[in-house]
Amino acid sequence: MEYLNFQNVKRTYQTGNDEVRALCGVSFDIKEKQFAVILGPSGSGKSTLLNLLGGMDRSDGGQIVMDGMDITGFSGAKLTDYRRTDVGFVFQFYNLIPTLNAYENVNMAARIGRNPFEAAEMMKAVGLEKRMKHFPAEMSGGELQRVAIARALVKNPKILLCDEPTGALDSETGKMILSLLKRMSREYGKTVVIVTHNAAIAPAADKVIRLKDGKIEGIQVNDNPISMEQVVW
Amino acid sequence: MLYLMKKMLRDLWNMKVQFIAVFLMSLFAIFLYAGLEGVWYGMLDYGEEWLEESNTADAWVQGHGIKEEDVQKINGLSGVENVQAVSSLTGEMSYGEKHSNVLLMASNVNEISMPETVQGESYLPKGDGIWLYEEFSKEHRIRPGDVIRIEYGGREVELEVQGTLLSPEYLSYTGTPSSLMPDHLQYGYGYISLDSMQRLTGAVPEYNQIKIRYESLKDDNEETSERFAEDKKAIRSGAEEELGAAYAAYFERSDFKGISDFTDKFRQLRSMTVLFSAVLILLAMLTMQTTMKRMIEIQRSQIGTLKALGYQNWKIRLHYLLYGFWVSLLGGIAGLFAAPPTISEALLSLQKKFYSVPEWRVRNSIISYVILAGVVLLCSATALWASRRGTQGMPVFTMREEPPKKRGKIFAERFTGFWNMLSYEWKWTLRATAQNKARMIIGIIGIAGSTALLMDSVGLYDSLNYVNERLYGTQFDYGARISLKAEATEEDREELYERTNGDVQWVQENSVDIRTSKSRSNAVIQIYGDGYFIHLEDADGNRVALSNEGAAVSEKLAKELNVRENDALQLRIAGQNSYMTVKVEHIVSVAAPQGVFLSSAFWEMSGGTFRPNVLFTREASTSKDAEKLSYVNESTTLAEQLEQADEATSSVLVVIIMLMAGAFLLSTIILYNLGILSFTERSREYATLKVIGYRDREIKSFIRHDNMLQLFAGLLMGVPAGHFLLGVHIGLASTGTFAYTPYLRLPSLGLILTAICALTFLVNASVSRKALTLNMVEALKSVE
Repeated sequence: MEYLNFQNVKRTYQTGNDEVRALCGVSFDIKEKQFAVILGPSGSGKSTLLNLLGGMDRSDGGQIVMDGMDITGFSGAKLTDYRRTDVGFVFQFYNLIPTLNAYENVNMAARIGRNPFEAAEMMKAVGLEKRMKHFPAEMSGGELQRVAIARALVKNPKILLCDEPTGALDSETGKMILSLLKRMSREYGKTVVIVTHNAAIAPAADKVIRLKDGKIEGIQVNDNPISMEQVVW
Repeated sequence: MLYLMKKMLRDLWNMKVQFIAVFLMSLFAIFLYAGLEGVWYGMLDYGEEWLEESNTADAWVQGHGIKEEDVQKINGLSGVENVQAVSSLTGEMSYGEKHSNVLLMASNVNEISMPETVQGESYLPKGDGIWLYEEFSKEHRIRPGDVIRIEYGGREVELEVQGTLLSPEYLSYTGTPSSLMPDHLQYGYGYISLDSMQRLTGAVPEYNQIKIRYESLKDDNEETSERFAEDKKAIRSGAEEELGAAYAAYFERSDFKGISDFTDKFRQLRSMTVLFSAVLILLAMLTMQTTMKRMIEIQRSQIGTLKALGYQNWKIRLHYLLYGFWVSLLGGIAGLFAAPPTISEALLSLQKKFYSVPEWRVRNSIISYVILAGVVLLCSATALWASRRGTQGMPVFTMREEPPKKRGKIFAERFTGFWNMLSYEWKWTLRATAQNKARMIIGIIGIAGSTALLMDSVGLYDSLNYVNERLYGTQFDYGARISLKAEATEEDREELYERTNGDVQWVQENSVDIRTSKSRSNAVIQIYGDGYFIHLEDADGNRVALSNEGAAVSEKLAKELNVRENDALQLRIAGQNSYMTVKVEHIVSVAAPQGVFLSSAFWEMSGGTFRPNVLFTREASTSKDAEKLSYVNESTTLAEQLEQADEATSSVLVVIIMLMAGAFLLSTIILYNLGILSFTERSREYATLKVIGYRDREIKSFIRHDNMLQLFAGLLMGVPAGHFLLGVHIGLASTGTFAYTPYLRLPSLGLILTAICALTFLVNASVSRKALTLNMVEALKSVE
């Protein structure tokens, strides 16, 4: 069995009298330490997939197995523990705590990790050792996302999930962030799953899973992925 | 505007919790004001009307052996419009083995203080028979046509009851100066003719009272008012001079007990109304402000869209103003309608126990409507103000999320050592507070306001009970108090003494006319023989012994007369020909009576004669034995007096309970509202913590810290504010007869603080639950 396995996963949302089938029986797998990209247009179900994988939501059918753990049947408390120790999440709009400085935002996550890295070390790894005492309001978009990445990684999770991490950034900064993510995944040996609608980064990924209308449209494995610097935005 | 109206209705529904809070605050503020005002204004309105219609006296001269020519002289004084002389005495009416005291009044005419007939024939001053006090008649089941027997000085007459009536001079009739509550079984009054009085006494009746009506002011301006005040002083001095040895005392309406007790009550209620309503209205505004501010923040993009579509700023602001307008208007109107049939009627029925008027009205003045308009105006203005910032600027900026505020170090961060010791929860809380001071301040004011209101309402109850216990237990600790009739002889005193076990204290108690260089007043004088049943204390609680050096004066009276220790007072007791000068040796803190206290030794040294008319005894059982004695006017025990005082206190209990309930409701509404607002503001942060992997109890800890800071600061402000409010309120509650001291028992304070803490934690738990059931996915949805 692969490191991460989605087996016929379904998710349906009820909005008033309507039913929205966000995922209609999705199956795929991802190897350990792979840099995977989930591509799809708006409404394809990619964020839903990421939320299920991150233990933020529950599926209505199928099975999700992560590193031998079937998280599908986890209780609320177990899902919290799963997110606490095994998952690092990076959001499109960073979601940093505005009243804590950069270091404190990262350390907030470190203090609850089972085997965390040092917050200062992680800040240095993302190139923000000189900005530790600054607050989110004083930082640029790229810096904010780097803090968010540091926060996600400092817990030493098994998997790093990124929901449109470059969606709020310009192209140069976006490339820089993706390079950082790839570098961190290699350096720290983490499995990274990025959700995006930007097909340009597909060639840089180890595996590309294309979603459309809640179904897998195609899965592509890149034996020789290009570097992020070579990506044409 | 139609669609904006639809939007408003839907927004009100979506934020119904917060807007219901504002609705309830407005409702309660108006409900309380209108409810209390309905009582005191009804009392005031009808009271004034009745006093005017019945041509009630403006002043009374008490004396003895007043002749017709004296009456005419007083009628001739400048400023006097009319006078009416009265002869009065207290007779007894037997019922079973007991007797009631009936104050009998006789006059040749009925032009001043005309009583209102309730049953039977209209009152005729020269008519045969008697017109009895309505409440007294009801209590004794006496009807017009019944014949009653009245005894006086060993003589007896039978009088047919012609009718029952109510006197405008006795809106409150307690029978004796020392009684606090009416006792309609024991005390009554009646009107008879001078002939009937002559039959009763066996002698031609002498006048002992002159009722005076002042000339009315023709032009009500400052000059005529000043002249009128001078005239009143001159009338008083003139009356004293004309009557000479016959003069005893002079009362105006403000110190005539039968009227002043009534007017003091509505002043007491009026002060409570104003104080509490002001606090509630302020809190209604604060609740509106926080609610509207939050709504504007949430609706930034909507406002920007409206601006982009071409809606003018004034229309958008009017739209938001209407939120405040409608919610507060509906709440206020509901309060205005709900108050009269509920709280007003409940309070009014309590007043009926103490006062007697022909008609009871619940009546609201225009002020209730003005207050309502004020609340609506303030809430609308608050809503408008909150929307002002949201509608400023170009649409493109309004549609975006508000940029994060610029940050610097907060004050606490400058103390690095201290700051580094703080947990993340505290750091987050302190920084969030610094960034959103308004919300924290409102929360603190909410808690402080509730604490102050609770301290005031519970403190009012504690203060009234404390005064009662102090008066009947510390200041006086006799077992029984027996007061003698005016005609009691030395033999009667000796006989009474023989009936006791010797553990007694004789007291002379009279009304006294007091003069100083600056002022004049009527009060009570108590002259104490040897004994230990009275314990006077100064303002610091130190015992004060009456010496041969001077007199002690009650604090309230001293303030009224503007005298201090070592000042001189001139005293003239009823029946005395001249004034006696005494030095003020002590100012004492007493609840009642308000007056002058001397030792009999000092009194006799100063030239007075000690003629005791009250006996304090150790044994309470003496009271029962003394009741039947012919020379005893009134006999009561300390326990009975305390019971009476407690019952008098009970009249405010309803108001106190209402205020306590209001304080709780108020704090619940504000705290919950602020908790929800805070939660809404930070929902993304809480969701982020959940995603990171924070457990429920860890997230609750963040929420709890926020509340703790608010609670602590609120209590810190609220306790001194409550202390101040209680002091002001008690000062206003004090009457001419009773001086209350602000007092809050330590257990009461403990209970209040515990209740506020418990409430805060309950609200916190309720808000925490929302955070724990937060949908992370929904909360963290990307924003453009």
